[in-house]
Amino acid sequence: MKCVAGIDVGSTYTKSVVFNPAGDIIGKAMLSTGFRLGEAARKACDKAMEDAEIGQEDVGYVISTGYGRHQVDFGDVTVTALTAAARGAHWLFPETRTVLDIGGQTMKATKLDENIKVKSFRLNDKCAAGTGAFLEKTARYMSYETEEIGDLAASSNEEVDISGVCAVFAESEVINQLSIGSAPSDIMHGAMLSLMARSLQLMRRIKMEPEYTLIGGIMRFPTMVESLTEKLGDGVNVPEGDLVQYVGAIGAATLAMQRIEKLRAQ
Amino acid sequence: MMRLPVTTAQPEVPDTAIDGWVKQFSASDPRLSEMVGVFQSMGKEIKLERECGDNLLFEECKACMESHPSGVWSIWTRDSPEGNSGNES
Repeated sequence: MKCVAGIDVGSTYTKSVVFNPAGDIIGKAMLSTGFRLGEAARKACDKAMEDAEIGQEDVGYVISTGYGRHQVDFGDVTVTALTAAARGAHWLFPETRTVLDIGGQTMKATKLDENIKVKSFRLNDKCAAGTGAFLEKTARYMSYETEEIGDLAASSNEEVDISGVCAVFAESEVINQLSIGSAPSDIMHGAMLSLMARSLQLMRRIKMEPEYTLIGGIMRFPTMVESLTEKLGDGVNVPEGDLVQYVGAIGAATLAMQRIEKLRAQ
Repeated sequence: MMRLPVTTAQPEVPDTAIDGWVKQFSASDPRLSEMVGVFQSMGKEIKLERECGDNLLFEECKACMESHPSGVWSIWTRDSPEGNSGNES
């Protein structure tokens, strides 16, 4: 049997994973999506295959997901980001009942049943508020890079109340806080807590149940994970390392495994 | 100084329900079409309502909303009279 690939074309990053026939991750890659979504998908998939030390001829099935999935012209099937995240979360943590996914442009809370079906879900309302873009812009206005957000928030010493999560207004909020003497680390920490409060609202609206699996680029930041874990209590799962960003691609790959097995059986 | 959309607390937002219709969230295309498809696959009836931004606190929010070429729409759902058989899978 051949390998399979899952590709998640997100609004900020494109991720790809390759599974071997035994269902193990043997390669993965992530790069900025940019404006050419199909090209980003091709490159991410090629890099994942390179990481797995295999060629295109070794891949028997490809499933794409995410915001740009319809631009993937070499995929066999597409699935929604909700389905892919649900499958990926279940593959990593089989007892998952609620998935919280905070990415660059969306925040999604999804409730699953025991058969990994989506029972209910909520997205952030359409505006720039409540997503990773808010944290990125807050950091940028203080002359920090995205990669520095985690360490910056973790070095906070004092609580700063930042209740808005609008990326458009982030600059004004930052200027306000700096003018009253707040430290950048405290502002970043406050921004993260504000985002966390918004995500909890979303989870309550779908009547969240444990176990909770936290995914998406924002979960790279320990402060975010720690504060969410503190609020949610027991039953919080977070994929290790950068896998937190690959859950959609993993879900797509698990579905590709199922499809290729079904095709083989026919 | 510019007025900020900041509140001192994060209020709980209750579900808005009228005649069984529940307001889910607002979105614009392409996400709007995708989410409508997901709700349909879950066996929900869908109603879309254009967001005019009149209930927003800040003029800047309204301008931001109006900047979307195809508009921002609120998604309302109701359990289908035939029964909610579906789940997104």
